[in-house]
Amino acid sequence: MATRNLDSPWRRARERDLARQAQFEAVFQEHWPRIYAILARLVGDRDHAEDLALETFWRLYTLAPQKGPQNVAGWLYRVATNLGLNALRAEKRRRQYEDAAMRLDPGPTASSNDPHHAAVRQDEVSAVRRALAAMRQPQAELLMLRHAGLSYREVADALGLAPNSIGPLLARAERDFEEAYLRLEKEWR
Amino acid sequence: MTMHASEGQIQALLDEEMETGERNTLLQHIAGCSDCQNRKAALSARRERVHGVLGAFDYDASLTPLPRAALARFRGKNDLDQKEPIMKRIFTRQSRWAWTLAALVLLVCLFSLEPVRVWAGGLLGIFRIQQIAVLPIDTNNLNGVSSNSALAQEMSRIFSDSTKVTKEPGKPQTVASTAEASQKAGFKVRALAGQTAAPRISVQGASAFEFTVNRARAQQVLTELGSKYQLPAALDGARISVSIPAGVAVEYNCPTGDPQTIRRPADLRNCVSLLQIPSPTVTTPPEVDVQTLAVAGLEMTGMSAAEAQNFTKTIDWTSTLVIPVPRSTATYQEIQVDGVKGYVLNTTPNESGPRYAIVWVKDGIVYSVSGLGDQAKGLGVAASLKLE
Repeated sequence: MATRNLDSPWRRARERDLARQAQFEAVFQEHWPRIYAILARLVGDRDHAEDLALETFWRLYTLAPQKGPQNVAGWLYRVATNLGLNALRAEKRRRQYEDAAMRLDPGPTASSNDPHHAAVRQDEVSAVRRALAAMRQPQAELLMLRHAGLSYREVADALGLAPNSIGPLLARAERDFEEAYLRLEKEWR
Repeated sequence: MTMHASEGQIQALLDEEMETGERNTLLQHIAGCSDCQNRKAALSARRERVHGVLGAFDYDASLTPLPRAALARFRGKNDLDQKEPIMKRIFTRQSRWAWTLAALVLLVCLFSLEPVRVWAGGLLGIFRIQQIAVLPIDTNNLNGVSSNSALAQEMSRIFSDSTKVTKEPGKPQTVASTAEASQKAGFKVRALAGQTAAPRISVQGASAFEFTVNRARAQQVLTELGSKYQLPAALDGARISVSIPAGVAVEYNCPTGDPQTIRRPADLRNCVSLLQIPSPTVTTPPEVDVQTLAVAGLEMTGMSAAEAQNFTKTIDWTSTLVIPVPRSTATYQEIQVDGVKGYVLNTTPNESGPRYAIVWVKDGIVYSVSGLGDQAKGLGVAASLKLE
């Protein structure tokens, strides 16, 4: 009579599958708030931000185990920023973002009964998005990741750069951002 | 000559991203260098301006969806709560490769549930579909298979290691009309009447293969799944031939592109897929008592030995395609469709939405129409189904 093999290769493989699932869910729960926040800043619309955030994690989920990134957090941030900036550049969505920006919480000092302030803030957010869209994408990514609170090392890991290159690159990115912002602001007035 | 601080160094200093030793050295230099002091001041001011502008982006973290809720939406949106690979294949036949899965599903059904009556006089057992029957099953045992990819692989290895393809199907060919599809496939191809969208029609060529059963491996799989059934010795080395005719997929509003891409429900919302394929032919040597194999297969689905024996007696195994329907997650209803008896199969609703599949056999052709929708939708589609 055949006896059950409690240590069969299938059991071990099943345990590996379950472990991988658990690992993915842990990564998801840990990084979801930051990834969502990056995208919400970029695209403004919360539903769209959620879609893009889920897309980010979907791309991680569908990677074959042997192709999984060593630095998962950095990989997620890069993909999210990429998706957000791509969406920002989509010409037909730009007007929707400007309208959707009104749905973002305008901040602790804002009053929902202050349409003037809301309109001013909307203009500011729109201007930032225009400037980011006008920059070279690697620079915009760098700026967004840093603004999202990542350290130099985290930014370097996300973008595949040497940590000691972040300082100079960031200085240039901030300079280019300001130039783009001022130029576009002038054009829009 | 003293080296001045670079813009990158000053940036790192302002961002507090510098090692202590390097930081102290830099500060010491800046303290004695007016040029560097001016550059630091300019860079600091620009940094403040940029951060001030980017502050418009500041985001209220309380608006972030909770991770657990987001994870639930992630799983639902991407349909990750899979439990029944067989039914998943039936309900997600939305790509032009779906007919291939249909044939594979058929093959799995055939091997796991198929008995072929041993004909007197030592004739070869031959199986051709003329009707469909639905078999409600308990999926607890199948869950162990579906979530264990290695076990599923091992199950396929029962056949694949010795499989010899005797006829290659080639790549599917997209054709312009049902007439052209009919000419290529060798049978009259039908389309759904009353559709506004132009169909995408693809023909997959016929294929054939043979495989030899490895009894020891098959027994190991059965044992792993908890069955006490002992496979007959005669099964070892049994050579089984499968001939799959050309099949046709007629799809409406279905996504195109790489058929291996994992499809999400959002991509398939309006997709309706009509698959049609003449019955495959399976031949087995006469010494294989496949009816006893069917009993083993039915026991794996949760039936008792007595139930399995009784069920096998009610089916004409030489001409019936038995479709397993998991009790816990799917329903079925017998209907009249296209002038014959058929079934509407439905998954029970979950976060990704329900799916329906209408299956029937007419004039030796197995048909399936599937899409996203609940039982009412499936019944409505079946009632109004007209093929031309």
